[in-house]
Amino acid sequence: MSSKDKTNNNEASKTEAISENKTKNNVDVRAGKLKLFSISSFVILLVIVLALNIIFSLKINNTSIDDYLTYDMSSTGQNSISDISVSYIDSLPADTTIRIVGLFDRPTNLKDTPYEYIVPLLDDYVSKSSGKVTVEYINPTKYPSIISELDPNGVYDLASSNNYVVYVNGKIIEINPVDCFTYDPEMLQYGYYLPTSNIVEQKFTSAIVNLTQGYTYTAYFVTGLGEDSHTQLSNMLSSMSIGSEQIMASDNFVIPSDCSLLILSGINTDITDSMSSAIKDYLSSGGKIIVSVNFFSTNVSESFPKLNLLLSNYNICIQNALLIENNPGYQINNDSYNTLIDVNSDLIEYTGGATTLRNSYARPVTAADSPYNYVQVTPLFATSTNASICTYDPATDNLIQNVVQGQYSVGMYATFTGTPTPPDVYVFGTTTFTSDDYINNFGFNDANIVFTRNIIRGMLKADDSVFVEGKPLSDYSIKTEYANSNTATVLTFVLVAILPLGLIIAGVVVYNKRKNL
Amino acid sequence: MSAIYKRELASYFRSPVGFVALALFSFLSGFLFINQYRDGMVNISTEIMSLCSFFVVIIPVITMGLFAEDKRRGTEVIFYTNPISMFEVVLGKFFAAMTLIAILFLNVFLHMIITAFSGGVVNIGTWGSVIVYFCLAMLFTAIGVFASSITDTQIVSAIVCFVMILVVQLLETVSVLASAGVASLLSSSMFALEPDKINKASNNVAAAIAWFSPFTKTQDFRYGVFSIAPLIFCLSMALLFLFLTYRILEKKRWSQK
Amino acid sequence: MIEITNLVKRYGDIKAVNGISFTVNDGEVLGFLGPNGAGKSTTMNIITGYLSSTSGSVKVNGHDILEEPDLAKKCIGYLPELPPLYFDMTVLEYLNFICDLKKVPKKDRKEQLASILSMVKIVDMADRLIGNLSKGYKQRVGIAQALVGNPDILILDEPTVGLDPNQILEIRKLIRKLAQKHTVILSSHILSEVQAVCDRVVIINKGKVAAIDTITDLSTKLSGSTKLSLSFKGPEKDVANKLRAIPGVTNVVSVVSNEDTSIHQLEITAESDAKSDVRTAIFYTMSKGGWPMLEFRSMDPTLEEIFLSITSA
Repeated sequence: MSSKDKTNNNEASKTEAISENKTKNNVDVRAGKLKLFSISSFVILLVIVLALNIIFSLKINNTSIDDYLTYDMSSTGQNSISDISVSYIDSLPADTTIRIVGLFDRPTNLKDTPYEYIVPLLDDYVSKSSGKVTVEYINPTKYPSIISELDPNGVYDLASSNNYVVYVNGKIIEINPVDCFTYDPEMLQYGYYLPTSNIVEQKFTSAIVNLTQGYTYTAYFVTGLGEDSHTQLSNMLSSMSIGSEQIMASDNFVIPSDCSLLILSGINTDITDSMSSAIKDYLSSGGKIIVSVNFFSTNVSESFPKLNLLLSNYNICIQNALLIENNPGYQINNDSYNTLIDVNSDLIEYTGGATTLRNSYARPVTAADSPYNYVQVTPLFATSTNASICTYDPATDNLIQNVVQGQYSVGMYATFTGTPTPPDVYVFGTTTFTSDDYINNFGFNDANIVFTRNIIRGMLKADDSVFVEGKPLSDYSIKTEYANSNTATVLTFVLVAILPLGLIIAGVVVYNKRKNL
Repeated sequence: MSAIYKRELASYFRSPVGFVALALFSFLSGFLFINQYRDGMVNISTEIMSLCSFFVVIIPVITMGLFAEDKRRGTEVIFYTNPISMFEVVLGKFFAAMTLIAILFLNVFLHMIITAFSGGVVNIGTWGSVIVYFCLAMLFTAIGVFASSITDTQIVSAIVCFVMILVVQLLETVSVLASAGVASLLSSSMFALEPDKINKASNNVAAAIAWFSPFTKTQDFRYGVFSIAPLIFCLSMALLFLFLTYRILEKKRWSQK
Repeated sequence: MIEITNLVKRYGDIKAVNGISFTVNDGEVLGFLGPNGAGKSTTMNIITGYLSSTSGSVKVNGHDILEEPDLAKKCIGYLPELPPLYFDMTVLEYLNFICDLKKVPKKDRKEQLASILSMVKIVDMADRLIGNLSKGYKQRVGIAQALVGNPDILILDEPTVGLDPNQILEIRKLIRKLAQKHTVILSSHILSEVQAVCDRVVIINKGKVAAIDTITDLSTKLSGSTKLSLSFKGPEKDVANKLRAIPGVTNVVSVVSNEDTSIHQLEITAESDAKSDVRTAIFYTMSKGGWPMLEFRSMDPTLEEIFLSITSA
């Protein structure tokens, strides 16, 4: 053994000199190969990954593979029209032609513009209407004749509008792309248009319905009383085949004969004497009216004496006071002015099942002391039994709170019995059923707005079967009965305190157990 | 791979680290959720997107130790001297980190259940956000795994990972700044190009930089508009980083240094 | 069997390993000896595939570590200088993890772990946290880790470093036991350890192999002669002269001489081939002269001496 090793050793020392020479300059070739393999395999993968992704986003004729591999699976289908629209268009006679004309060049860069949700949706109308709907983009500066073709009488100012025009049988409805969305009212104050929901389909489908059927009813909004804007409410009415018009408040106020519904939405100043008598006449012949007021900095000193005098005929009184909700179970986010109100249990079918609705800076609306028993009033909503009110004291410019707690009504409905043409009077002490702000915030599918829609349908027997709900970009309200402070407090406690603490304790227990193993 | 995966995942919960991470995450997500719930409007997608912007903190904490700690403690010898491919090691650790992220995400599922129970919206858009969350998590975890493999100090690894994710998050902003920079450079007397060309050039620069942003690519998922390319982008980039990590670890086998 | 050919590892301009070649045969215990910084750990790391070599090849049971790493690694159980332990795991959790890594079949696992635990004597520690174990136990867990999967070859890098004498003895005992079933490569800078357990020694110095042989052969080879030490009572000069006359004895030197008690000590150098003859001859010479032998022993060079002479050369 030893001699064998000796020779091994000798051989080793002999080769050592040679190998040293060899290794001084050359390292193991295999290592070099592995290095080459390592680097090149990474480079190849890098190239493949980049190439793959670039191919996906490469644009040919304004479309890329990515666009083909995009699927609109949203329940609301931002870019696809709903079955409601499809079945309505299907129900139209086969020879109907509906032209949708965009008075501008077809937009190419859709991203982050309103057209992002309009252009693809309109294309979907074309593909699902079996030829009844066409969409064209015609720039009137290049083809001026399109204006006289659409609007031969020059009623509309189409030339510089950049609007869409829906054209059916010589009648047109203009649609401004900006109006196809509801916007966050808070951001709007700062001049930002932050869309909250997409009502493109609602707009276009109601235009198609109204052009093919004609408006069934006309609602008149009274203006000039510091009232809320009514863009969204008009949108909703339009989708129910109810046209919207305005009448200015004045001393010689006349209600047009075609008025099917009079709306005083969120007024801040009292009505005039002539309005009072005109409205009384209108209601006595079976008129329908919706009045909404609230109690806010813009109207704290307004007690609406003439309006109350008018409403006293219907046994309704709007109090000049602000409701305070003291029951945390009714408060939203610990706020005693933005609260929940219980719906009269007979009217739950009007809310789509919700038992509580939202309410903001409300005035109590109560029954007056009418002696006539043909007047029938129904309270619509009530606060908890722990609500109180405060009134405005002009002398000190302060709100004086009444500590007595009780239950208050926030809305009233009145009608007459025993007459052939009974009036319908709805009075809301809050604007959360009518205002643009509210609809912009909560969308058309919110229970409050559903309620408004249903009472209008009930009054006018209006058909809203072709009503396309707004596609919420952010309509995420939860059921109002869960949205109170009590639930929120419990959840806060569980999610933000108990759960993390429990996990920390579990960690400490495990750590202590293992530490001493 | 399963050996590494099991060990790494269990090690998160052998020490209080995993529990503390879970507690912090449930506090954070619970806070985001409750803030919405109080106002009576819950959009789980918004919560998930807010959580995505916390990746820049969450991911480095989860991934910093994966390889750095093994190097520091000398336990990496185990991987090199046992019959196991380094790629399996990388994948095992990657999936362990992803599993922890998924466990953290159970909080959001709890919020989804509460929302659904309260009559709120849990729609396809919510699930789109979940997909986006996990795709972004995979991409960033892969970056974290990579950052952990290039150093033997956890802190350094965390900082590298933090910076890389931050850069990715700021890509959109960077693209705007870069295009403004290009525009001002081109309009200077040195080039004095026509405004048309300047606009085109600066727009192209902005588009090229923004192309790399996974946030821009996935923004429509929350509305339920799904698209394959952004997913492929995230997954392929994740794979790229994992492969790079694998190559860096394999380097020890042939490196002459 | 491990064949190492011309292994070179360079760090920049420094050659940590400079052309090492040796072969480890099946079933032997090879001591890998050298001063600190000689390149022992580097070599072991290269053999196990943890480090790359600049050039040269390592073949484990015929599998090149660079070309067929998985097959080669399957044959090796490695205990690095710093045992690769996860302090946050219990012993059993850790060994189960290693079983997973080495793909030990589930059905054999319990049995194998039980035998390993009892072999390295850590049965009582199985459920304790590795971080809480003493250094000696950690070392044993490291050895246990190397034993998982029953590899043919065990490579142990400084297995007794930092242990107390009792623990060292136990680990040595363990290694001798392991040597019955495994090929063992053992590195150390402690000579007695290598002497105690190894069949063969590779001594390396400054990255090069300085000597490879069995320990007995090494000592003989180094000196080429045998030294004997003799204490006796009697006249020093006479005895020395008589002894010098014995054939085979080349030199006799006085080491200790005490004229008062007439007890002296001599160092006798003899040709190693004639060793046995010389000793009988010495005995008879002494008894014939009537000088009582108080002590008579062989003075084989210790490994320390061999080591010093090799490494300082």
